[in-house]
Amino acid sequence: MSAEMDDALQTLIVESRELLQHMEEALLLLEQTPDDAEAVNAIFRAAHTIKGSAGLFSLDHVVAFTHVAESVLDRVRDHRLGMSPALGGLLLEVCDHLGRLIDGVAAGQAPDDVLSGRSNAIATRLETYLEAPASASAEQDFSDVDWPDGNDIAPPSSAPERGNDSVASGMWHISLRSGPNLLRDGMDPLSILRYLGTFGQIVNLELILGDIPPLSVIDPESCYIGYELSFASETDQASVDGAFDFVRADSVVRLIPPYGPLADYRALFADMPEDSLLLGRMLVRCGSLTEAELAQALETQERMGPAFAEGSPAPLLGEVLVAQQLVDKPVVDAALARQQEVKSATAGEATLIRVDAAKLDQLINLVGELIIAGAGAQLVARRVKVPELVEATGVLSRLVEDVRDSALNLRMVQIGATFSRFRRVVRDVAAELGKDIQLDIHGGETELDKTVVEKIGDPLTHIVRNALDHGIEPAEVRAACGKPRQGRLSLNAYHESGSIVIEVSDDGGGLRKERILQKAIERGLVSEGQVLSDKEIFGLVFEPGFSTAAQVSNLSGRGVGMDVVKRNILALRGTVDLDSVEGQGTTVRLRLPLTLAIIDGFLIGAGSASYVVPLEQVLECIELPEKDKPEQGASYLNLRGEVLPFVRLRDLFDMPGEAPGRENVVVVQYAGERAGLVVDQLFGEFQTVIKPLGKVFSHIRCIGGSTILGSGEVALILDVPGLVRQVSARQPVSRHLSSTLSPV
Amino acid sequence: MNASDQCNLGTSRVVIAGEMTIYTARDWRDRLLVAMSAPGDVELDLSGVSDIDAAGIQLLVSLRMEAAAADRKLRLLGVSARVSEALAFCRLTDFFSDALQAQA
Repeated sequence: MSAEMDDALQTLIVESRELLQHMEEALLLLEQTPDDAEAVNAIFRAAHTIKGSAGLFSLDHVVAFTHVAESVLDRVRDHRLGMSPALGGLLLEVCDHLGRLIDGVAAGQAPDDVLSGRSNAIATRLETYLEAPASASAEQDFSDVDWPDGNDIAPPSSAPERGNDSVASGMWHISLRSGPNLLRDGMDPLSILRYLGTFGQIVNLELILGDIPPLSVIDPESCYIGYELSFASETDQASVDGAFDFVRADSVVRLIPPYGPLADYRALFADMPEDSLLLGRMLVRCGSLTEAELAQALETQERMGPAFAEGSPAPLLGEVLVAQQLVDKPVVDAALARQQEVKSATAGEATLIRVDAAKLDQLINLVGELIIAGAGAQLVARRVKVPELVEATGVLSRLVEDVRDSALNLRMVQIGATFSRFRRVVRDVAAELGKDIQLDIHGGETELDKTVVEKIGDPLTHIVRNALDHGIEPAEVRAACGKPRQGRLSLNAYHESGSIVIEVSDDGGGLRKERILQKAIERGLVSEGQVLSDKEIFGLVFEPGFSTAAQVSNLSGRGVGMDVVKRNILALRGTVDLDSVEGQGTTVRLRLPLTLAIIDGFLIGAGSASYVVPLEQVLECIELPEKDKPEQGASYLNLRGEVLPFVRLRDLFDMPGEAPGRENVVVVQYAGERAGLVVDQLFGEFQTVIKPLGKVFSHIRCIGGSTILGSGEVALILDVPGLVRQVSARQPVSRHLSSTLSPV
Repeated sequence: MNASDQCNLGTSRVVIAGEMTIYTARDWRDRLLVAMSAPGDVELDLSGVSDIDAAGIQLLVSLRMEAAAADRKLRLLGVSARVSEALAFCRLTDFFSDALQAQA
């Protein structure tokens, strides 16, 4: 497959996934309001578009599967079939399965037996919704070369009144003469036919062989394929028309609907370059015209345009146009409607642009470079002491900061999409548990950094599942407590002083403080008699080990994996807390930084280099006591009665030179563990734009990234979790060393 | 793509393997032209064709017509399933029936 095709396939995959998302949302909406015609249309459109694009890439397994779903949806759309919870569930399965098929396409794998088996199983269940097998017959396997001939096809039941001048054939007649560049443009006239085969049956096909030049003069990359075919299908003109959308530009396409007027065929004879009689024979062979109709058509043509043979088609042209106008009426309407759709879509596109996330990262990197350059210029300006220059660079650096802020802002995305995913989770889990639960979403428009959004999905799922599973009581229990039978779960997001707050609240049983406290005392997390505030008690459920053993009643599960949730959130430099009122519900509140690209840092120096530690992870700074200096063999110090292992940055990074007389210890904390970093200098707080390190440095531990100082120097950002781990791991070895050394 | 062409007792044989599509059509055309330039019948081994599109089909039709015009026999030997499906789909099986019979 060429690179262009590859690109197009990527687009197909991205689009299909988006469409599936819309489909799922619409399906969930339908469960609430089963009569929502707009939602049904959205689902149908999604299926139809996926089928269409898959057809272009000959993804036959996707096309065949989607076709069945589309047929069912078509019936729903035409009110021939009502939406039921069972059908909704089945369609959600269709949606999931399509997702798997698309994943397979994305991975470049042919569908394996398991996947095809599942396709068939779902298709079979779908087919039970198609009472009449007529449209199912269109769903033929393409490798099947035994195409039934036209006699087997029953004319569509809804045959329109035949006018005086219409033909007897109940099939579409399609003529195509490809433009020479069709193949070069990546289209294949044969795949259009295969696509047509997905919603009808190609009854007869006549390839125009006369157009193909002999081998000696053929341009093998030009397209010479032309065909006349008769096509049995119940679809409307617009969908047949749609199959040819991509080739219409430089090919000649003529569609004549079933029982079409004879005038259309006359126009066809006039339009096509072939000899009318020859073409007429083909149409008869196709079954689109009878001998009598052909004779009539040719006769009329001769009568109306005797001059035609002499090369003056003028009188015919008028008739052709009139005839075309007649044909085109429904097409024109459909085209107008489609144009309208395209217009509204472009209106949407005008306000939203799809940008590769990597490009945004690149922009942010460039802005970082700009900051260095700006700071450099400012330094020079100060040194040469030209007041105008100093002022100019001052203005410049302010603008650069604005640019930086806007650039970071570009990566902000709304949290709504993440929230909507939970509609499905809530639906499925509620169904599984036999509970009736309503999900409310607020603040979906709240924005936060894309990288943060990507990482909160899992912890949030965990919290939501917990709330559904253990928070909200079964309907009977709720009724007994005098609460509405339907449980409520709400997801809420809002901004609060530079962070985003995400709340997951339920109106369930709430946490029982005494039980938590009792459990904590049993586990030795809290000593008996210790007085704890409510917040502290609720905080206990996030403690590791709190939930490991089998637990009882509504405490259980509340703790399951909550420590993991907390760890994930902390890794994002966020916090978790929990409020609960027994009998009324629980609210879990996540606080996250708006972005991972800018942090509040703490700037420290060792030797000639500067380092940044994320400010939240710094507990305190103390002076390194003389007796604890590493030269004395120590690697830990006594911090108010606690053992604090420490490491000297000079040693860690193997820096030459003597340490200054006065050294400081920065006490950092991660996941409850503490460590000290011995540094030469403390510079204080520093707004840090994090620049990731290249792949070359990815194996280096203890360094999480880099940033650029105002002076243009690079400072490394210390990876505190890595450091803490390394310092604690190294500790026994050093202790051992120092004890063996001490007798000397 | 690979091909082994041989001329032997007035019969040229072309083995077409791999794709017979727009991406390879030019190469195959050149090879077929070489075969046609030699006298005698033309044999085409299509058993290794993995994929064929409109470009491949029109090439086969073109060859068939050129051979007929020069009053030379064209034989299609070992037609792969993909090719025979495509020929059937295009209702070309009849058009190639004499060439296809040769393989029996």
